[in-house]
Amino acid sequence: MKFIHKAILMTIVLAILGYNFCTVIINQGEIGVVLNFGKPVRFLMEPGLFFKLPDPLHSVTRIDSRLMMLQPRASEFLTKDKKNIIQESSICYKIIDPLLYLKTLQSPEALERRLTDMMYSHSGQLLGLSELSDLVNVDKEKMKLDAMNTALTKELKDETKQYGIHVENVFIKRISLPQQNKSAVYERMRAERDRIAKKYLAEGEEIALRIRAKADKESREIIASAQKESSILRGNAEAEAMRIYGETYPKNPDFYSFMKSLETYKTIFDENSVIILDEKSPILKTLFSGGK
Amino acid sequence: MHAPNTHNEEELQAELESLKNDVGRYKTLVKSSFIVMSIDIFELAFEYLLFLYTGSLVILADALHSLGDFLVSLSVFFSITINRHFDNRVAKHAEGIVSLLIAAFILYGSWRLFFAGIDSFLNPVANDMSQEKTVVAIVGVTVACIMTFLSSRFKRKVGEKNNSIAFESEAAHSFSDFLTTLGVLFTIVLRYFGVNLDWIMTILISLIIFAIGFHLVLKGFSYFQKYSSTYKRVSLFTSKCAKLFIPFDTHHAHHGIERSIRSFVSSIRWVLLDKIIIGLFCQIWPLSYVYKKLILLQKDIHKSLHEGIHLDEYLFIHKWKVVQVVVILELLLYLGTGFYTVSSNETGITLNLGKATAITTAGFHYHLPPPFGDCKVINTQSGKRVESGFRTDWNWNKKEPEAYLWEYSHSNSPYSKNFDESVTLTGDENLIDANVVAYFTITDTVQYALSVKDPDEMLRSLLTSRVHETLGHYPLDTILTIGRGFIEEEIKTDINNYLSQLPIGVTVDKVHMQEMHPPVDVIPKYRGVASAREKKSRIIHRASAYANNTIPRARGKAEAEKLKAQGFALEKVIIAKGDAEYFLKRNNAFNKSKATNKTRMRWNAVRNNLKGKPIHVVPSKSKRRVYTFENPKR
Repeated sequence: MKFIHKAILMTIVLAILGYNFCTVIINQGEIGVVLNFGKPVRFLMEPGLFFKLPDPLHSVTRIDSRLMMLQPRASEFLTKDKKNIIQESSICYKIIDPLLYLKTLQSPEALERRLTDMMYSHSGQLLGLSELSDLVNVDKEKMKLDAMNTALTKELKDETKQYGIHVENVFIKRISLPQQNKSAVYERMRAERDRIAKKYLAEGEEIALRIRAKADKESREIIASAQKESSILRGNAEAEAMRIYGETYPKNPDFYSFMKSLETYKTIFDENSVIILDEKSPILKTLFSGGK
Repeated sequence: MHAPNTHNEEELQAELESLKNDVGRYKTLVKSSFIVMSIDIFELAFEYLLFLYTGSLVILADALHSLGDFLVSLSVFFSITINRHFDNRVAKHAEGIVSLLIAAFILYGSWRLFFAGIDSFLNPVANDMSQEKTVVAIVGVTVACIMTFLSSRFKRKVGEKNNSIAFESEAAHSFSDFLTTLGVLFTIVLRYFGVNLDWIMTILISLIIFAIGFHLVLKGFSYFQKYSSTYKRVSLFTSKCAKLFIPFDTHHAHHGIERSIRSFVSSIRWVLLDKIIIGLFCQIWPLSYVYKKLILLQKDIHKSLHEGIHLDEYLFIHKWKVVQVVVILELLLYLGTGFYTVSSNETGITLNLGKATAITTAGFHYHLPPPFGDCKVINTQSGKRVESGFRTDWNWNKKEPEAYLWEYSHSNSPYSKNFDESVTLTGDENLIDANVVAYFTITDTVQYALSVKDPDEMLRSLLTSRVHETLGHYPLDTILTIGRGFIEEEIKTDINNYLSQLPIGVTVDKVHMQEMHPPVDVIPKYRGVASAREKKSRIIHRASAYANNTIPRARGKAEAEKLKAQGFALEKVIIAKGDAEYFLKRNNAFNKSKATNKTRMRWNAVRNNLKGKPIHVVPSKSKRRVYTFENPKR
């Protein structure tokens, strides 16, 4: 092996060892803490390549400094007007002071625990002071959710300063009802729908009855007026006929009565009639006497 | 030493016999065997570790190949020593048993490997090896290659020095092992450039290992007197088969191939692809015939190329040049891991030494190779979305339902519901099931990708919060019917207001209410209202039908009545007029001769009326007499 080869090999080995033990790369979105046997000696707040002493002397812990979100589990609270509600909120925060953070909380789990506790406490207080109508209301002016978000953000921001945490925003994610109350609401909604449905049906009946009655009335009226007209017509016709008869028959009343009697025979006798004549009846007399 | 690969069984037996007498040579060979076996073991361990790190199947295959070779070497070593210390019969049986045990082991390994290769072909995994790992694998396999090469060279030297056929043929075997490992290297380099041919190489190597095991089985049986002749016959048969399949077997073809290989090698000196392929073939047919051809061919080509120097000798003389070239190539490959591509719907962030140094758009870009640099490529297409109240399974490939009805449970669709998120209170304290989608664009890529942990989840949370707040001040019926348009707008404005305070680097472009309906429990009653509405109009329609039926009929009846009356009236008057006329006419006629007419008419009447009727004449003397007649016709 030539000297140059040995030198190159040695340089490579040294460079790899040196890189591994004496440098640290801090990525964007994290903070490095250089610890000297557990004691923080330097904070690497910016991303980049940093030099340090070899490992046992200086070890590095990385803290996630990105904006993070914590969503404590939903929890049940009582409002001022004694209504049970379930509330879930989200907290957006980031670690800004690694020293305070390491001194007070140490681990993400402890941090989350602490934030959760604070959140429950503050939302309990706030909800205890407000009524359900502050949370949901048809009138937008009476809604206080945004104000509550702002208040929660401010409270948590102040309280977490001592832990080296910056709370960016807190917002109530959802407000809901416990299952039992939900069922009651469903029951009410169902009743309301029933009410509307019944109303529709009754309205229908109302209109239908009116239409039927009107139709009956109209038809009766039409028929009656027609009957009236026809009676008048008939009457007029009878009168006219009588007038004609009255004008005609008196011209020869004898002939009229004679004719009527003849006509009457025609109607009286039918083919079943049996004729009984007295032997002295004029008919026979005339018949047998040769027409005299 | 590697007996199975030589056809000269007799020569080998003679050598083994002679070893019994030549103590010095025996000791040298044993020592050399130990060295060779330790190289095998080292290579095996090395490749296995490499496999554990990279997870590459083909490296595992090569490691198993080394194991197989090692076990074969072990069996041969065993046969050398045992032959020396025990009498012939016992030794042969012991050798046979050892060979069979080892063969069983090797066959099992090749079996598993073969199916692993088939499996990786049938279920191809997307390039799961990072570029970093690929480079490590390339360096590692290069080292393995060099070791095999050195081991082959060492074996040849020992063979030449001690005049051992076993060692010489073992050297040839090792050389083709070297070519196999080179093939593995080639596969992995291809992988670096995105071509995944692991499965082919894995299957080939599993076949090689199978061939080794198979041959060992035959050999194991040959140690028992009974099967010795069978072994010879099978060996002869397979070698004849091989002649049929391998083209450079015939004299003529030999020349053609030799010429083409010669020109190929002289044009691209460092590309050993042809030899790799020949090496692989020779391994699958572990026959001395092929080996001899290979060695002859090799000697032949390189004699003319490098004035009588073997390829391995040539490489050995220029070892530093080879190492330099290999190191430079591998350095280039390492530096090449810094290249990354960004497609048109993506944005890349170049991270050098942990810092975001550039935001890159579509194209080919470079960051420092790991661990100094990194890149983050995120999808920034405008259709990015978050969902509240439900989740979409984008890999859904089953049939979707005909229509999404309100009460659809979504167990059978790509959408899965999250009732905790979706069911919310409305302004009039009703509950509603709200499923909302927000489309957003990334306005600040660095912020989105690096400064926020899980920004999509944060946006989803914010969206849910805004939806619940906004729906909290509208009555249920407004939300369900007329309000959808302006509520979407309101949520969008609201969420963007919040995003101005919460820097996650996105803006919401559009909010869509995907599904808004009353909770499942009350849906039947909602439908009931619609039914009631229908029923209402049905009742009204029926009444109208009645009216429509009655009035025209009444009108008709009235009309008929009137017409009837008119008819009656006309009839009456006309008849009267007729009667009058009739009377007047008859009266006039009658008056002309009153008496005659009267008589005539009377008699006419009598005649007409009495005609055909029974007439009874009664005496008139009797006084009160009453006759009753029965009607004869009744």
